[in-house]
Amino acid sequence: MKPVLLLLAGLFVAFGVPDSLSVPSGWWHVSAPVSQVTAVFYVGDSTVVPTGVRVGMSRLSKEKDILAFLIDKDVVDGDGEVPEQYRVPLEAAKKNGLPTLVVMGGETVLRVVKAPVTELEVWSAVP
Amino acid sequence: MNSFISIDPSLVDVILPPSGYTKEMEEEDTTDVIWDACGSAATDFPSDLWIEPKDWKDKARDNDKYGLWAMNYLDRYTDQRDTHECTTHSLRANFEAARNRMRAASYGDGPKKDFRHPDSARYGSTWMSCASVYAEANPDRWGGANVRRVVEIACRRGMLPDLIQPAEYGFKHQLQGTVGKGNNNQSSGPWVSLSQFPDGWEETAKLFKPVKVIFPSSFEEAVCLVLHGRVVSVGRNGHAVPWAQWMAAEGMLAYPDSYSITRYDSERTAKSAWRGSFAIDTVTAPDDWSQPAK
Repeated sequence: MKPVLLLLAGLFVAFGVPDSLSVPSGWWHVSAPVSQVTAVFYVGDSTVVPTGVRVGMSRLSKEKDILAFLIDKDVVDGDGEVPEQYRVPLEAAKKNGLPTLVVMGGETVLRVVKAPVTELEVWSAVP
Repeated sequence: MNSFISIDPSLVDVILPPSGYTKEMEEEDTTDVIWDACGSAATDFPSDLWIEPKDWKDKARDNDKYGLWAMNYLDRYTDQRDTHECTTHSLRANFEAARNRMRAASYGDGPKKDFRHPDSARYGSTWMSCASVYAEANPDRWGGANVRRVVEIACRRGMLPDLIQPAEYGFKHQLQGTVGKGNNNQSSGPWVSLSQFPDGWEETAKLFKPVKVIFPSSFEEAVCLVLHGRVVSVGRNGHAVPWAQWMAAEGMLAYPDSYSITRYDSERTAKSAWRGSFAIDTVTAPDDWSQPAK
């Protein structure tokens, strides 16, 4: 028995595993976790937010139950500091250049979109 | 929210019994004076908000279609009946609309009498106490309060949350919304002086302050602010109100009056009233919208 198994192992190593013995694809693959979008921030550089952005953000709030924020680059809390919840997205937006849409999954920046104008740009930024 | 409908004439240019804004106060509340009261929060009308009057109707159609009026960002009426609190009720509408706009929180057709929007809790809407400002603005209770006084108070130390909220936020300090009638979305309680506020109330009030306040320099700029989803607070005819929608068919300004009803200023009244008006553009934001006092 032992020599037969050794021979089969040698053949598999030399010529590969026959298709009929292969494990179906996906069976052993564990998909990488898809990050859940938790919040979307539009960080503006002026007082005007494009109509399409306002519509898209309202729809994200209402239809996808995602926290959506239209914020000023100078946003502050009651102590005059940048609110904790805004710190990471604000930094990402400033780095990318304002205005920018920042899609967050918890504390992680998932995507940034420079100067979106349309509802579709906002909507499609969220997987 | 159709701004092209015809309007019931009984709701236009309504003159009420004295509600807290005298002719003398109206004359004292000039733009310069209110600007100074706002301190560093005051700002000129930004040129990028300008819309040519010929384009106002197109913008109104968009606002109707997508729910982008300031009226859409308001989720409740208040009721000041039998008080002189009008300037603070107008202030709270201005503040709450700005806060909800920052949260992209739109509420269908806006405020409805005896109705609570289910989304108010979902979006973290927070309702302010008019009494928390009025008590300091006029410690004598009767006679009303200047716009400049209530805005100065709000910018300096903020407002307290109403005892009624759409969700349980765990506030440490709250106050009755009004000493007047109130309604299902605004608490009512007895007169309270500043010295009777809950201990340490400043800690919570500072979380709810205007950060940027825009001053229009013409009637047209005031309408542009409304077209861009801002509330414009004005005082006229002995009463202070928050304009929240431009009615395109008749050129009127709609406002959620502090009597649980929407009323309208004709264009003629509005053109005589915009001086001394202001729009809160941004307010302080919480660290966590689900726990706005954390």
